[in-house]
Amino acid sequence: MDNNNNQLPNMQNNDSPIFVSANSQTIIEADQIPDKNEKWSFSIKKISEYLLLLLALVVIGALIFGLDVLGMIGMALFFVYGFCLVVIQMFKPILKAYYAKNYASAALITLVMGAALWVFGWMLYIGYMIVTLMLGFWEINS
Amino acid sequence: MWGEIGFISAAVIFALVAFLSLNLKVSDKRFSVLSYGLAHIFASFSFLLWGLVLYGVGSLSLRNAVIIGDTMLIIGSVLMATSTFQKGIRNKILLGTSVLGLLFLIIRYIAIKPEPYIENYILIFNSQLIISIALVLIFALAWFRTNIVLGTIIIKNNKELRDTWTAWYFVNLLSFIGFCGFIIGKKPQTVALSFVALVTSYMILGFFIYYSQKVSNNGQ
Repeated sequence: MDNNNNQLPNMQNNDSPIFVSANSQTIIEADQIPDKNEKWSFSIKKISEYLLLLLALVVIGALIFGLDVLGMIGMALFFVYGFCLVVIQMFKPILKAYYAKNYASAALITLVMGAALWVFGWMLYIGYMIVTLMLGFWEINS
Repeated sequence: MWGEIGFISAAVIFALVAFLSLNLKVSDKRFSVLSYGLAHIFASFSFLLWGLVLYGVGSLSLRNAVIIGDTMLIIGSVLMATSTFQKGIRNKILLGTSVLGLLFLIIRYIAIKPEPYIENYILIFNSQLIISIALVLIFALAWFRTNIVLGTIIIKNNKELRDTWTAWYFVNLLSFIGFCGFIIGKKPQTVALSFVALVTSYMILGFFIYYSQKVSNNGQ
């Protein structure tokens, strides 16, 4: 946002405030004002997504050439790394609400996301148990 | 036992994704919801067929079942590949991908025949190197690409869903890895884990589609 003095906030009946520039007569909606850190966070997001893609390609490459064990280790790493990325991304709305001093909303989102993570964690744990049991049965049968 | 349960549940989940996506309202004219839904129905049929053959229904041999399943997956892939193009170009892309798909199937029938086997109740496709590479490319260009395009369209239309992009991307990559591991894995553990990853990721994708539909309905 440009902190020029000739920009006057003009609150209308819309949801988002509108800023009218006195010099250029351009109307900018508050949603469209670029965040200072947007470019930086965008590039970090892109890099982490490319890393995830790279990891996926390594896993697939290993599987194509019959290196199943390496593929499975890569798959586990991919899952952990991807899950961490998703969790970090999920915290973004909480931080947004916190910086906007909307503490009630931040607390509510934290509560909902905490509950979602708790459920997901249990799902992962149960999934892990099932896979371990399956592998155990295979060992017994073979 | 595990193989049949896995295939039947995959068939149900793919059918569910097809049903949910057929009800999806996409304003972008480049995207065909019908092709997307039909592609999932064909994939669902192939999983159902493999599940039934593993269970011992009918007298279809494993090799023929794999060939028929592959054919249905190729038809699904052709539909999937064409679902992201505008009407004018879509027919040309459909023709091109159909010819390529047919060529792949002819090679699969005549030159490089499938040699599947069952180990620990798990169907191992035992795909040859060249077929594995071709299948990975097909899944990357048709299924993965289309899902990424759909995600972009959904998020573009719903600002509320902007923060879910990483989750959508991760789940699609997981489904990509799951599909590749399931089709080209040589050990039963790899095939089973990849298959679980594929089914789980499609379950989450189905939930995303349902959720985005809810959000866009609420926005209207």
